[in-house]
Amino acid sequence: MRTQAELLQLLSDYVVDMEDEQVGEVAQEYIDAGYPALKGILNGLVDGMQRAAELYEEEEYFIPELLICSDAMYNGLNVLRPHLEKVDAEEKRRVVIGVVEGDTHDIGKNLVRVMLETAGYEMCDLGRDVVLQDFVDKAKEVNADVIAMSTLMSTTMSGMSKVIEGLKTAGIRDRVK
Amino acid sequence: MMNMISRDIMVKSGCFWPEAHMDSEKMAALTYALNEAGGFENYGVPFCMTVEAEAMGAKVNMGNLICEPHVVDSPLKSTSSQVNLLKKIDVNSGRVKVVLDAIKILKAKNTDVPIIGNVTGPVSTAGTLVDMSVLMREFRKKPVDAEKLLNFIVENLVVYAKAQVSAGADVVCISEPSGTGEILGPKIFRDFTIKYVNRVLDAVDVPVKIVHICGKLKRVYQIIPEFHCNIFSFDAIVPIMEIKPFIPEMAVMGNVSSFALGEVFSEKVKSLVKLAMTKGVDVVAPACGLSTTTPLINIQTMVETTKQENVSL
Repeated sequence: MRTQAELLQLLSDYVVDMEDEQVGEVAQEYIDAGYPALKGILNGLVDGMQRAAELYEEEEYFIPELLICSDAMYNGLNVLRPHLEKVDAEEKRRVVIGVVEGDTHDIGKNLVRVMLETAGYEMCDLGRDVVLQDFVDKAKEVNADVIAMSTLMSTTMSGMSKVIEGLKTAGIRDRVK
Repeated sequence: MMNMISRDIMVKSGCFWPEAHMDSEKMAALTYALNEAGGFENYGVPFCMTVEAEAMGAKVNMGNLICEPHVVDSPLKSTSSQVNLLKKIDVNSGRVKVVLDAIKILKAKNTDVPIIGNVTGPVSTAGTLVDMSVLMREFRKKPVDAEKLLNFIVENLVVYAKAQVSAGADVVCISEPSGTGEILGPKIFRDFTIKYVNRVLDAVDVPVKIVHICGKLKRVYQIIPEFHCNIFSFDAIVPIMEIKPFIPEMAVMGNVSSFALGEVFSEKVKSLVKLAMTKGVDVVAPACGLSTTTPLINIQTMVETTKQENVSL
């Protein structure tokens, strides 16, 4: 039997080492041993993802590595999440995120979503090639604190300022970062 | 290069997007008009990065006056190993033919303006035939499958690039907006981007070969000389003086910020061009594709300043 500390270390290591196929088994072992899911997520999986992000900062890891690390994190989350106690009392900050209309490059957006989710934000992901007005409507609907827009192409970049204009028209520009 | 067309020149020439992506007369007329108006000292077609992927089976949304065409549906869903689902490029049909015809039209004008045949890089093409995030995972986890896909793509890009040269292109420019060192890291960049871009370059007999790579390059400076091109073009974020010592055999092209060209007043463009030339750029050009809202006066100023400084674009 492995200790809780060992299992947490293993969860973290499996995320950072891109063991996306094995991490689920460790998460299951952790739950079977009766340890709290929340700690497994924060001190195991999220810790591993943060270490991966550090390696990215240091230019040891690049996007392919980060993608597989985030797969590993989500595979672990799928096992641990159902065991979370439902006491999420604290109101989370809400972020509406998406790739602007005309562009389908969404890898950067997905990684930002993962990182913000890891940092405790509630993410509302509109996906890619998002109609500009949808950012505004969704931000209104969910009372968003932040709107995050992404694009890779110079020809779609001007869409971002249209969303800002849309926020002004809707009278919520000052409320949203 | 990537897109060099702006709304101003569409209005001036009466040839508009998205039609100009699908009509060889309009495609040729648009780049011709840009040169005539004191714009870039070349003709460059096509204006988007989707011609190759569409010919191999991707579904493309042709965009509008402002947005360039983009792939909306990739033919390969899960893995890059399903190359049998892809179509071979047919130089006698679709937008491949449109591009080739546009080159012929430009050649027939018999000017001394060089014609650039733009080719989307193999990795960037692969990233639209199968979802880029799937492809990137497979570069690490199933490199053999990824190789199969890249081999197929390169065979077809060679057919296309050769046809561009036969049609009259004086220059072939391969751009890799997705297959960059910054995104992929040095190992995958070398094993895939450099390797497969070179396969296309090696197969094409043309006097000038340009490679354009987007994004930061610091981690891959050392391996950039491995590209078999005469001219290397890069983004505004790359300091010219930093990269130049690594590629003494190549002319360096760039890297006037496309973003700045779209936003600033023409006086500022002058100083940006002068700065790039002082820092040692051999071919003055935008650092990346232009936004269609870029004012024509900024493009004209860029070319004019370059001429005054006595280096031709």
